[in-house]
Amino acid sequence: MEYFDAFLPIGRTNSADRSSPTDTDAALAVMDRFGVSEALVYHTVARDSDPELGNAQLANVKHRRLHKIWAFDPAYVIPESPEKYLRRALKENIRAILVNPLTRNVRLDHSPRILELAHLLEKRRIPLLTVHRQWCCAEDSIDWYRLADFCNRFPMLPVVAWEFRSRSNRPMFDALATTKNLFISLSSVWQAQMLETVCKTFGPRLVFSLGLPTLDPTSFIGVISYAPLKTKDKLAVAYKNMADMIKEARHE
Amino acid sequence: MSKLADRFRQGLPLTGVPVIDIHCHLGASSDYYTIPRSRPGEVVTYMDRFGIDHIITFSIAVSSDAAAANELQYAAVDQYPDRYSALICLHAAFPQDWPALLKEGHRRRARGIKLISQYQSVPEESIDWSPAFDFARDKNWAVLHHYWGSPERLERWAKAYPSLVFIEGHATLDYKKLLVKYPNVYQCTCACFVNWMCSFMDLYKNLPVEKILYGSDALDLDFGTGLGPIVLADIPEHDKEKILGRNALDIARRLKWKLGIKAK
Repeated sequence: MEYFDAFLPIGRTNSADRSSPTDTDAALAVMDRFGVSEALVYHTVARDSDPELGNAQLANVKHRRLHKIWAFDPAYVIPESPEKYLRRALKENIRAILVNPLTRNVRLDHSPRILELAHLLEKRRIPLLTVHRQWCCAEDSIDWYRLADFCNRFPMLPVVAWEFRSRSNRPMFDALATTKNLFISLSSVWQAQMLETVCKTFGPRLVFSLGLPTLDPTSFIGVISYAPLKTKDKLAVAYKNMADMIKEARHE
Repeated sequence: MSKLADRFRQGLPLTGVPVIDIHCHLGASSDYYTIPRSRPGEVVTYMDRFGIDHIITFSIAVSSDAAAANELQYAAVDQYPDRYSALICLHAAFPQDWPALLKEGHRRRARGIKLISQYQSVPEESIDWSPAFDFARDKNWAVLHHYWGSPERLERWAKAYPSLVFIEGHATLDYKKLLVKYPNVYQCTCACFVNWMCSFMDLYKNLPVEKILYGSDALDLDFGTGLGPIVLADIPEHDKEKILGRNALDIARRLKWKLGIKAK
């Protein structure tokens, strides 16, 4: 099985697994160990606290297997427009954009800068990764109903959601049921038999991740390898969904 | 090359080793989630895909009425005695219910007791479990707790009730000294893939391998998340086998449990 990690971190962060990479070589080593052929990489500082500082740390990451993600700061007072930001990101070969609504209490569906950025990304089909991470809280951080509303406002925008653990599956199912462009990281969904439940009910609307920095990277390989699904669906989750999103985006 | 790892990567049932999952929950729903494909027959199919021979199971509705949820476990054992063993879930807030729950569990072939005061809004250190353990002491039972509290507290039970097997239900090194000192104290690997638990490799490096038992927390968590850290670890194959099932089989022999596991 070929894997594409949709959320591979580079850099230190709280409670990181000891195998979590801090540079390009370490990222490639952990990918090789677990059979991950490609990955979207972000810097932990960009996700956790300072998007621009973290984005800059990726300047020297240049490898055909690593596709860079930049984080976006929704702060309204930032002088650079979302359009200029995106132009700058594309010049740096950025393949997807990450926003963390939990820095702090930002609403995707009400932030003027995120809405403007989403509109620009939608035109190019560039994936938006909503990474709901806060150092002091863990599971069930996503408001699935608001996220679904946001997705439906930009129906051609691929949205990939991550949080530490999506334990409450009822609202998550509702979000999948009421959207077409929402995908979820498998590493957020720990519950038994959820992969097959999601695939059989909604289609293969998940993307693979090793679960770093906070989960042991051995955790989700078996979830895919043992799932009672057609190879086509397993491959979609393991690799193809994310690879296709990157391929179909217009980055030029 | 690890044969177990190779089969795991390919999604083939693990063979050549008994696989006993010491920490499972059966149930169709909790306040967190609905649980699809949770009927006993469906779970057996799920176990077979991984090559899991037997699971020790208890309620998933641990914050509510214990009797109703325990009944689900006993019914599963009635249907598949070679695949399921049940533990009796007690609600820490209602010790007056314990005698009836324990008697019923004994009548229904339970293998012991499951404790989880942390989900029942009762401070662990305030609970006197001794009435339950007094009942259990001559039954060849195991007692698995979500978290036993201070090591001193678990030591008190381990010393006072040497006939009972005490299992710490989630990955931690808090009871390292007790595992070495007491033959009746064991450690489960459950949820070791999560950063706020002890990692599998830290369990393996710090604890006697004979005292480590595989547990997944299924159907709360996927079997794959529990097996991955063990099966894909860079450790000798024979140690993986001990953790996956041989250690649990030793406990079963000691407690005279007939688990119905056939040689693989």
